[in-house]
Amino acid sequence: MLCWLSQATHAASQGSIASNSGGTADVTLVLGLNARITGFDDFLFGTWDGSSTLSADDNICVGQSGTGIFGTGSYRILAQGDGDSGDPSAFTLANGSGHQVYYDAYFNDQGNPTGRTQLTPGLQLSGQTAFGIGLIFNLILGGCPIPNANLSIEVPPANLSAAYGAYSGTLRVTLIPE
Amino acid sequence: MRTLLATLVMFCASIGTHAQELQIFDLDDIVFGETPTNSVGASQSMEFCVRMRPPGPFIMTAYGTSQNGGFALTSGAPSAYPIGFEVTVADTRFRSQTLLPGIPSTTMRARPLRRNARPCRQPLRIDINIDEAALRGAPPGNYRGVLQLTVTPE
Repeated sequence: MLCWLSQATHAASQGSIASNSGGTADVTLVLGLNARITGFDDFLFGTWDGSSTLSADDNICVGQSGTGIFGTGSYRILAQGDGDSGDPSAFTLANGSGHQVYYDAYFNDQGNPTGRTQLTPGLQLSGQTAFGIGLIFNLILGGCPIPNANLSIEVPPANLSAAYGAYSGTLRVTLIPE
Repeated sequence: MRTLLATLVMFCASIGTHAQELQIFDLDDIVFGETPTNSVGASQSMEFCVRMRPPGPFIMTAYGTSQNGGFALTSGAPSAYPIGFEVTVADTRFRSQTLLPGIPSTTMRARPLRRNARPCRQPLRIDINIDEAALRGAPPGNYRGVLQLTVTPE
């Protein structure tokens, strides 16, 4: 005879005294640390002057658990654009007629673009680090209290030469704590 | 005299066919908590007790909640990705053996079962081990599984 008990708050069940006896134990795992990425602003390039590279950057806030206030945490970044016919994550802007313009995206694990790394659409950028104090405050507080990363975008003139009209797109950035 | 003898024979026969009884108890949930995706594996253990009347050898069979009773945790997400785990059990003499889903263990020994004999002083221990590859390959999220343990006199 088996006896299975269940309780809402304590899921493990104990066996009864019998010719055979069975019990259960819940096994739970939270894979990955709690994380929050905030502080994103829209990139508004305005009207292209016909010759310059369009360039802009934005300081953002990376927060995650698992790091002491004096420690260092590591994380990965995944960036995905609106895609094109061959790559669902390609960094593209489109006008109302479906014409696309490609842009380059960069990430830096500092609150400025110096030393940034170019992102590859759909591939994770590993090896990013941040001090624990910023990670903790950025995780637990709202807004973007301690900018500790930078996202930048460039549209080279060559990509704009055939452009016409107003272009827009969305860049999705995913923080993957390690 | 003949009646008394017959009664004694019946009593002895009753004792002779009395089945062994045992109980598995003091099981707890196994909580890994937050585990980074780049962890070099993860392990947790849980102590529990088996008592038996009369004391003797028993075997244990474990089942998980994935297909065919396999040991795995799942996130419940649409693209559910199971994280497999290994189960080992150590008896009161700390002899450890790996349990396979649905396959009875080798012989273990239980403590005597006495009514009102809690708590258990010589627990057995279950270890659950998740290797690095299983953690790295799974997407972040909350994972859950149930481990079912059944003990039977040998």
